[in-house]
Amino acid sequence: MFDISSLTFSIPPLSEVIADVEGIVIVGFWIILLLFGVQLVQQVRLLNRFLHTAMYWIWFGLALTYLFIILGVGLWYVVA
Amino acid sequence: MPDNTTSQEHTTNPLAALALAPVKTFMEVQDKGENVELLIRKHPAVNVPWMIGTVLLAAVPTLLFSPFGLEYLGVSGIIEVVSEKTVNMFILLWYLFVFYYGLQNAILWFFNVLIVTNERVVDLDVTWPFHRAVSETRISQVQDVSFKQGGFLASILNYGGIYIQTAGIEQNIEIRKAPNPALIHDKITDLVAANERGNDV
Repeated sequence: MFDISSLTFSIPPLSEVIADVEGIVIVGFWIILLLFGVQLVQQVRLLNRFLHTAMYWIWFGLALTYLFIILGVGLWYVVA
Repeated sequence: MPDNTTSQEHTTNPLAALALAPVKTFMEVQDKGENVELLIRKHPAVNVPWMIGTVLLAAVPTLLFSPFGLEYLGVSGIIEVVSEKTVNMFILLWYLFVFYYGLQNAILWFFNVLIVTNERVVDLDVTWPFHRAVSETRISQVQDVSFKQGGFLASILNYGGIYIQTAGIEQNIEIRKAPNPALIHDKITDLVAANERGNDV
């Protein structure tokens, strides 16, 4: 860490570094899953449009539920 | 030989790998008077590998925290360094990833279809994870329909490849590991014959 007042570098405590790395890993993983969720909803929507079957609402419901769970989990991580 | 071109039977199971005149099924590009006669997916047995993969992936957290997991590998210290909240969140995200993997594979199987109508053959190819290709040919352009069945599992489970050769520059269409290829072959050739008869009149 660079201290501007004394123009010196200091090594942050290990616990702080670990906490930062934890946050980056979790947020990164969550963003990837969020993109997967959005892709899944869009894919199901397009495929359902091309081939309409009796399973239309089941696939769409599953994909949408998945996306909402990801958003909920992200919210829980921020709030908790 | 009975004429099966106008199917009396209707498949109501939406998850059927081979559906004859399936109910509540239609395409975006379907014309007026056009009926879906056959809907063919790969044999359900092709789902077994990804299903096993999903179960194994879901078991990873349990295995890691078992006596044969992190402790056995001598890296249990990792869990003590990171916070409990992070561990819980990571496990939760892992299960969401496993759910995505399973759902995506189920969707790929469901939508990878060969649709045969009384007017054309449409092949919808959806491949992992973001590719989609559609090819189609008119029934009147179908020159030859053949099927190939070989191998131990294919014989036991009765699946094989269907190959539809088309006239001119139109793309040939095929589906592999289709259930009951002999029946599919029979239905498609019947449709082609009916179409030729219709054109002759």
